[in-house]
Parts: sequence; C-alpha cells; structure tokens
Amino acid sequence: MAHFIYGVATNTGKGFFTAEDRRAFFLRGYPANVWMVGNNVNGAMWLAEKNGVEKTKSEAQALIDAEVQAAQATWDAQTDEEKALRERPGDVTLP
Amino acid sequence: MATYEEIYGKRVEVLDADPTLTSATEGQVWYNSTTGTLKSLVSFASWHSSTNLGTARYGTGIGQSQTAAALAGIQKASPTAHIGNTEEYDGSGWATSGSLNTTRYRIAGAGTQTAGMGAGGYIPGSGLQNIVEEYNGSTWTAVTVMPSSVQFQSGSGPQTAAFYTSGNYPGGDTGVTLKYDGTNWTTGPSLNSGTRQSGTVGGSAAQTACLNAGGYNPPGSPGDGSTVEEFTGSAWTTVTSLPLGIHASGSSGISTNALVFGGSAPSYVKTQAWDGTSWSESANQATSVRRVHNGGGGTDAALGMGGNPGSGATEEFSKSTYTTTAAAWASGENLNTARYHMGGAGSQTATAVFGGNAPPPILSATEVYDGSSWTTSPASLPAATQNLAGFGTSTAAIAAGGQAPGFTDATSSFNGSSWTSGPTLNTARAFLAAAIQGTTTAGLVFGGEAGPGYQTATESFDGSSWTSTPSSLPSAMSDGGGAGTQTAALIIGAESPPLRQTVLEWGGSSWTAASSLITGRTDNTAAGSQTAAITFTGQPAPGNILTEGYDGTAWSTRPNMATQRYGSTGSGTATGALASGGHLASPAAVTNATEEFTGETSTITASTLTTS
Repeated sequence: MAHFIYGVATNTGKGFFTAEDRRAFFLRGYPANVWMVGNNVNGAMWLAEKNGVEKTKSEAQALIDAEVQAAQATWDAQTDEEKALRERPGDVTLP
Repeated sequence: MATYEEIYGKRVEVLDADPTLTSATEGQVWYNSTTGTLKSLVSFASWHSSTNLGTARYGTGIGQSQTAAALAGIQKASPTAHIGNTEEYDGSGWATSGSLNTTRYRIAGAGTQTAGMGAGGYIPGSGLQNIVEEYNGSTWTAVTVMPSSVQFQSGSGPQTAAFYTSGNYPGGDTGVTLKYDGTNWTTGPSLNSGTRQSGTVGGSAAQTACLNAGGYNPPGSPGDGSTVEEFTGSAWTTVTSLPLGIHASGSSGISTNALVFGGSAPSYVKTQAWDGTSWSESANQATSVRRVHNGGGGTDAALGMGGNPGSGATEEFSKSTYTTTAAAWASGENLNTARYHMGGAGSQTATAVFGGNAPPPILSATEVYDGSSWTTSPASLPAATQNLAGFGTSTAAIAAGGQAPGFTDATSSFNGSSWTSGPTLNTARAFLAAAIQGTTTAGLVFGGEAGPGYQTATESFDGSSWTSTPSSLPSAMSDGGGAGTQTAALIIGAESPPLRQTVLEWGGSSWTAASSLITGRTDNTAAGSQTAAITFTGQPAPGNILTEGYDGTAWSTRPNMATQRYGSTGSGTATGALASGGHLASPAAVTNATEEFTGETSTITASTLTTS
C-alpha cells in the first residue's frame, strides 16, 4: 500500500487544515495546490472534505513541474536588473 | 438505598459553581446547584502526541524521565540505513547529540540522559557485538565489553548499577542476565524462560528489584510473549502473565508499578499496566503502525518514541487530571496579496505585514490581520520596499531598511492607519533582522546585506534616532531570523553556510554565542523572546519546513509546518506564532497562505457523575 495520497485542493485559509488535522495525519503542501497526505482514513477524509481531486504521484508531479516551468520561463524573460532581485525558480520534486 | 454520607462518611458539598480546579481537587465530589449536576475531578490515563524525532528511527532508548530521555542510533526505515547519532528529548522536542563510536543496532540502553549506556548489538556482516558504550549527555565512550556478544537485550537501572535481561546470544535466547557496576560486568541469575526483546523495568534499584515482561519467542519455541518474571534480588519468579503477549515493547516504571506499551502486533497500540499483582489494560497509543522499542519515565508520565519501521512519532503518556494537547501548525487566513520578503510586526492575532515582493513588482501595500481576516490598509509604505525588517505591533510598527529597489537606509513608522517617514539608519542595508518584540521607542536591528557585502552593524532606536552600538555582530550575518527586545535579542541563522546554524544572544551591550540550531538555515523567520523563541521556514531544505524552539539554553524540535516555505514573515510568541506568505518550496510559487502555531496546552476539567 502506498504511504501517501496526492491531491489538488485550494487552500481557503483558516480552517483549511486544523491543528487537530495535523495531529491526526501527515500533511504537506506543494506548489500548484498539490497536497500530499497520509494514506489513512483521516487523510482521505480530509482530502474529500476539502473537495480535493485525487491524483497519482506522477500526475501531481506534472502539475508542480508545469507551474515551476512557467515561473522559470517568466524569470528567464526578465532583464538582468529584475533577475538580480530574485533567484531563478528551482525544481520541486515530490519525495 | 444507602446515601453517599452513609457510604463515605461525608456529605456532598453543594456549590453554586465548580471550585477552582487544581491537582489538589482530585477525588473531591461536589453538587453544582446551578447546573444541577454531581461532579468530581478524576485522573485518567491517556497518550498524546509530541514532537517527532528529527530522524525517524528505532534504537536504544535511555532515560528514566518523560522530560529527559535520549534515543541513540540505530536503524532508519531501510534495513541498511544505519545511523549512529543520538537525539535528546527535553519534554518539548528533540535535539541532536553525539554519535556512537560503533554504529550498530539492536543495542540495549540503560541509565539516564546524562549518564546513559548502550550495550551489545548487531552489525550486518560482523554479527553479534559485545561492545559497551557510556553516554555523558553529549558524547559516547567505549568501556568494558560484556562477557559475551549479544543482541536484543533489555536494560534497566542507572549507569553504575545496570541490569540487563533477556537477549539473543550465540547460543540462543538463553535467559542469561548481566549486571554492570559502572566498571565491570558480572553474570546474574538466569531467567526461568529464555527470551529476547522483552520489556524490563527496575528503576534505580533494578539489580535488586526488576520485572521482565513479554519477549520474543521464535516460531516453534514455547511461549507466546506473555511470560512475566519478577526478580527480588536473588532469583527470578514467574508471576501473572501479560493479557496480551508482546515483544519489542516500550516499558517504564519499577518492578511493582510498571507499564509496557507498543511492541509487536497485534498489541502495538496497547498499554498494559502492572500494579505488583495483576495486569490491566490502560490507554491506547495513537500511532498504530509501529513497534516502540523504546520507553522511559514512570507509570504516571511515560514516553514512547520512534519505532519500527522507521517511525519518528513521539507520544507522552500521562495519568493526570489534566488533558494535554500537543503543539501543531494549522492554516491561517490567507493574505489578500501573495508576497515574500516583506516586513511584519505584531502577534498571532493582530499583525501588520508591509512591502515585499509579489513578484514583480516590489510592494508598498500594508495588510492588517485582526485574528479573523486580513484587511488591505489604505496606508502604504512611503516607498515600495522588499527585504526589510519590521518590529512592534499591528498599530505601532517600525519598518527599517530593505531594497527600494537599491539598498536603503529609510525607516518609517505605522500607527495603524498611516505611515510616517522616520530617521534614517546609519547603514543602508537589506536582509537585516530585528528584535521583533521591540517597540516604536525601543528597537534594535542587526546584520544584513549592502553594497560591500554582509553586515555586522547593530543599531538601536529610541523613538527619535538610530544609534550604531559600539559592539557589532562578531561575524557579518545576513538574512537570519530575529527575536526578542532591544535589550535581550537573538539572531538565528544566516546566509553564508558556515553561519547557518549560528545563534547569538544580545544582552543590551554585546553579542555572545548561544547554542546552535539543529538544522542550519537562512531566509528564516522567528517569533518570541530571547528565552522562549521558535524559528521556522527558511532554506535550504529541510529547514524550509522544520520548526525549532529555544528555551534560553538549547534548541529542540517542534512540529513541522504543512508547507515548505521561506521568505515569510513571523510574528507572535513561542507558543502562539504566525507565519505569513513566502515562497512555497520554490520561488515558483509565491503564496498568500499563512500558518498558525499553537504550543502544547494543558487543561483541567471536572467530570459529571451519572448513574449509568
């Protein structure tokens, strides 16, 4: 059995995940509104209650890659002066 | 029907309201005439989660206290990933300590956090070991080896009077026991039933009063892991069996008052309590998929940590009238504008953030949080600025330095509705840190980056001007976290790699070295005071998700955030902090998300008595 469930859900702010949620199951957020949660009842219920759309790990990684690559393209198109204000976005890999 | 007075000899007190509840109220019964309920304060047993280990593992647990334990080595999730370092628990979190001289696993621990030991073990390719090492609270030293190589022992007692029972020897699970006096090993009376991976408890008098509970029985051998033997100084006697057979458990207490918990399936979440005569089932642990090889503490306050396979979970057992709720991060209300590298000031429930980078452009906008929502203020910073410092409150804040877009010496003050330009810094700079609990009449900023490079300058603010203090940072430090006040501050971490673990304390006139961070980082933020601080966010990974707490002496782990981020702004205290905005894992995703940290809490509640 896989250790994690991957999904996409929009962080609506306060109450999106609670301290009780954090004590009950593993939860970690990534770019593109991708969330990695523990593969158990509590984690699955949380994703469902947040109207999350479950993804495979490769699908979730593809969403992250797309957001990172778009940001990299934006950065590459900047002037040198603009680039000096902010480092080039780096790749993000799901563990 | 007999009355309460006839049974107990006392009448039930009638009160208009519940009395002030303290531990001394335990056992009292009263009638609340307002609510019409019969009430009492009773203690109950429970496990609650605490901060995870820095490195998931199972190893040898040492320590006789819930608030002062250590876990050394040994094996991570992968059977081949062996580690030798030690982590120490202080009641709130874990801090790394010295490494075993010989990395191995299946070691048995005994002693305390400052005078512990690990004996025997197994090294793949080399087999069973007779190595013994003593721990002094920081380093391990090899001492007199055991008479035989052995793995899977169970140890109890202090370093100078330790008792090791059960274990797997070259000849099998022979039941041999060994005593250690701090210098030499002698053989003790053998168990009646040879076993390994048992739970052994004896406390400080283990060599004269000890209990050996459960243990592993290989397939085909007699026993189901439920055998319990008691040692009274001269021989082992078989006593009441465990209701649930178990091996590889945690254990705590003494021979007449003990707990065994966790361990092998199917009882891995169970806790079994021994009163000297019989066993009863107590509260279950919350973490269900693990074996807890390690434990410590007594029977009212025990500790379970780590487990197999590769668990980092830590849980505290309490038998108390208090209910303890573990610390955790939760999502907060989202900012109106996603941003990073902004300034901030205030508390968890009343904060102002200002400036930063969207990106692009650089921002001047200010947002104010009232505990339930963020409102974009009509007032903006006098100039769009990023990488600036902030301190004060949401209605009385100071913004200092930054890039606008060049390095600036500008400062300004916010009164909750408007910004006013203030006196300039003596050194223009960005990525500077501030004593975040400073005020508009007593502020402090330090370090940072300017044209010539990283900065050492420390400047104090008295409400009308900035003064360079005679004593600067001993090393140029940029992009660290700041905490505390004008007269008692911290700088935590820094940009350049050698300094990322560096922490310095400001005593009002000079900087002195403090205990280093466990995980070095930069671009981090902080909350709290010089003697009660936390730092969170930062880079590189894993510092972007880890939280560490400082008690004025040492750093230990706290629960992780949910989102990896850096370039955030922190506000609040060590037990009520707010992390706002930042990058999510990569500059690709600037976020408007916030997270709120709530420290561990304890509450006391009276129970309502019913007839059912």
